[in-house]
Amino acid sequence: MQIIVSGLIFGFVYGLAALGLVLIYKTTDIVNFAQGEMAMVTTFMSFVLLSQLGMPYFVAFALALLFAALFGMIIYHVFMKRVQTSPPLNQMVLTLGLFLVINGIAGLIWGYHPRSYPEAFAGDPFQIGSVFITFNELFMVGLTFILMLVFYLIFRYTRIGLAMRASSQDMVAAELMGIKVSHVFMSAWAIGAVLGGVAGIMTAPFIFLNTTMMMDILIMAFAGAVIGGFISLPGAVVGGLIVGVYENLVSYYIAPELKMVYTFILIIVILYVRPQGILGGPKFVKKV
Amino acid sequence: MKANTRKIAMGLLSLLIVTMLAACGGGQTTGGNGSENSGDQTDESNAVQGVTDSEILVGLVGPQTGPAAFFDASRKGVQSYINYVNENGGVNGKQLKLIAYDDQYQPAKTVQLVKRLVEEDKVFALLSPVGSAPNLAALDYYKQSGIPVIMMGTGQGKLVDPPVKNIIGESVINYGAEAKVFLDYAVNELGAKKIAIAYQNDDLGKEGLTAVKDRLGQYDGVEIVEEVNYLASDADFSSQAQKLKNADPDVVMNFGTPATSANLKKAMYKIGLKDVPYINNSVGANDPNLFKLAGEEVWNGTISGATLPMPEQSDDESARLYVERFSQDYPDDPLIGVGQSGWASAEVFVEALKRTEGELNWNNFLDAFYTFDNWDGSMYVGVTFSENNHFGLTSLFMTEAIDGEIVPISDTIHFNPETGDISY
Repeated sequence: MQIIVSGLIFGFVYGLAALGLVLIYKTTDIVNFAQGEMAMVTTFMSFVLLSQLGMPYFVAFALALLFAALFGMIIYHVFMKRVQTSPPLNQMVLTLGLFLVINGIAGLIWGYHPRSYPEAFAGDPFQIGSVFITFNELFMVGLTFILMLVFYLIFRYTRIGLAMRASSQDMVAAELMGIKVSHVFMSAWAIGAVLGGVAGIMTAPFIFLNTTMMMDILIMAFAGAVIGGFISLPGAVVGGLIVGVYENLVSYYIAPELKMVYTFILIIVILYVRPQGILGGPKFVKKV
Repeated sequence: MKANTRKIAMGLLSLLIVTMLAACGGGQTTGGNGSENSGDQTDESNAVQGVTDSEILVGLVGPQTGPAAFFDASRKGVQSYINYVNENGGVNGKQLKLIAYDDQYQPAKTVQLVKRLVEEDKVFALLSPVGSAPNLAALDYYKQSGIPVIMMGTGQGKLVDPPVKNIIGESVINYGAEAKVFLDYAVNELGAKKIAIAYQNDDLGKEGLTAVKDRLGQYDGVEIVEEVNYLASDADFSSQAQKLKNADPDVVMNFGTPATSANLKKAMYKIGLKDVPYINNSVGANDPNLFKLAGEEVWNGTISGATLPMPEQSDDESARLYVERFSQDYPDDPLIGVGQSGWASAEVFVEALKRTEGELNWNNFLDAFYTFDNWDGSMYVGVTFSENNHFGLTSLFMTEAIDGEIVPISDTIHFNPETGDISY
């Protein structure tokens, strides 16, 4: 039981990271490989605010997310906007380049020693039946759930959401209908960066603050997003949860070194049975 | 407009590529430096290069950037000691010059860069090249070229056992030797019968596991009740902790790196596995930063071993000098850890230079190492070499993590790699 619960908790981290990926993809048609590194930078910023400027946790948290939003906008304006009309593959390669650049620069600024990062709520775990759980983990679960719900509702039922969906379907038509596509895309990047930042800040207490902290998390988030269909926000979280529990079960019953392998076997099986992913809509074919 | 966008995009991409190449640093070597020529050097046991009347060239390869860049503190330790030696007249009137390249902990680059040091820069010897995988990748070339390779930055057994004439010493205690001492300590001092083992699933962890299994037969009624492994990149240790708890062991032994060790102990602590003695390999334990990573309450009580004193708590002369010089040369780097082993390795290197009899060539230099018999003039508690023992570090003392400090809890323990004897 503990194995499943711990898997679920990590699943929520993957889900959070996957949410940001899916949101950017859904709106702008780009798979953002730099998502994890942007999240890492946000986490480092929050750490600077927390430890060097001594701010309270939630103030640092909020300011770091504000930074994330700005950072997302800057990335969009400086880099992505200029290649907006290029084929998606070119744009993805640019995000891959950003991944390397951000990682390298962060290493130069903050060094390579792992650091400890505080939890939102400290305290001993409490026990329910045979399962141990901490307040911090509950907070993380709640936060992911709320974020998913909020963005799902925004996307589905508000004008901004409609604009986002329209822009993603046809950029030119959306522009002709009076939608400022670049504003829509910019907000997608901002929100995506904020979601990534939340994932980073939630993850850092578990895996310690490090320039490489998000790499493995992002691979699992990708796996979760793919399983969930890559265009569905609830799908991203569900996919993340499946990956989290599944990898923990593989780790316990089969072998820890094989969990990545088995995760990708699971992806192959799911995509074979249901090519559009679990919550990927009726049919989803896209040519890159 | 479109052409304009494309131009900018192309410009950006080329900028990216340039940045990436620049980040690769020394990764580029001039091609075509035929390694065929290096065969000549093997036969010349009296070979000498990189030594002039005023200078001795020393080479080092290790990660300065990338995910493993924290090992760079080892190079800084070496550099710091060399600075000190040079300021005090050098060795036998010769200044030491360190040439260091960044391999980003990528074995393929290590081999290229080692060749460059030996064949183009013509260094006299390699000092403390970093890492198990990088050194293993370069091992064949080390053997082929005959270049003295001194105090490699790893505890990997395969590099020094069986011994090769020109490959001498490791700056970290051999993982297997350490594991054997820990097992002996667990059985004889802690009275453990049921042993659970956690190990990182790579050369580092597996060598510890194998060593414990090899030695287990020497103790009556002692058995391994559980073995769990994990990967260096793992973040979630709940399944391993659960298995360890289910096994109800007398002692848990772990062989990993600092981040995984901290995470494993956190996971054990979380599910209530608190009161069983926890012995952790020194690579994963000898760093007060672990109190922060794992939490002080969690990390307290962790038992480990050390070949080096905790610098600021020690009255050892070389430790005192190290604290003074290293913190002056590299104020931003932590004093404890790889910086220390880099410094101490350089001390061993310089001592061997001083002990070299006759002309300074490879052969005479390498022979000088066999005169080290539990030498305690460096920061290490003892350094021993012989024709059959190229480990170097076979003496250690046990430590325990208590309230933010790592405190010695035993006298020096000696392990004899030739006989397998452990003496307290």
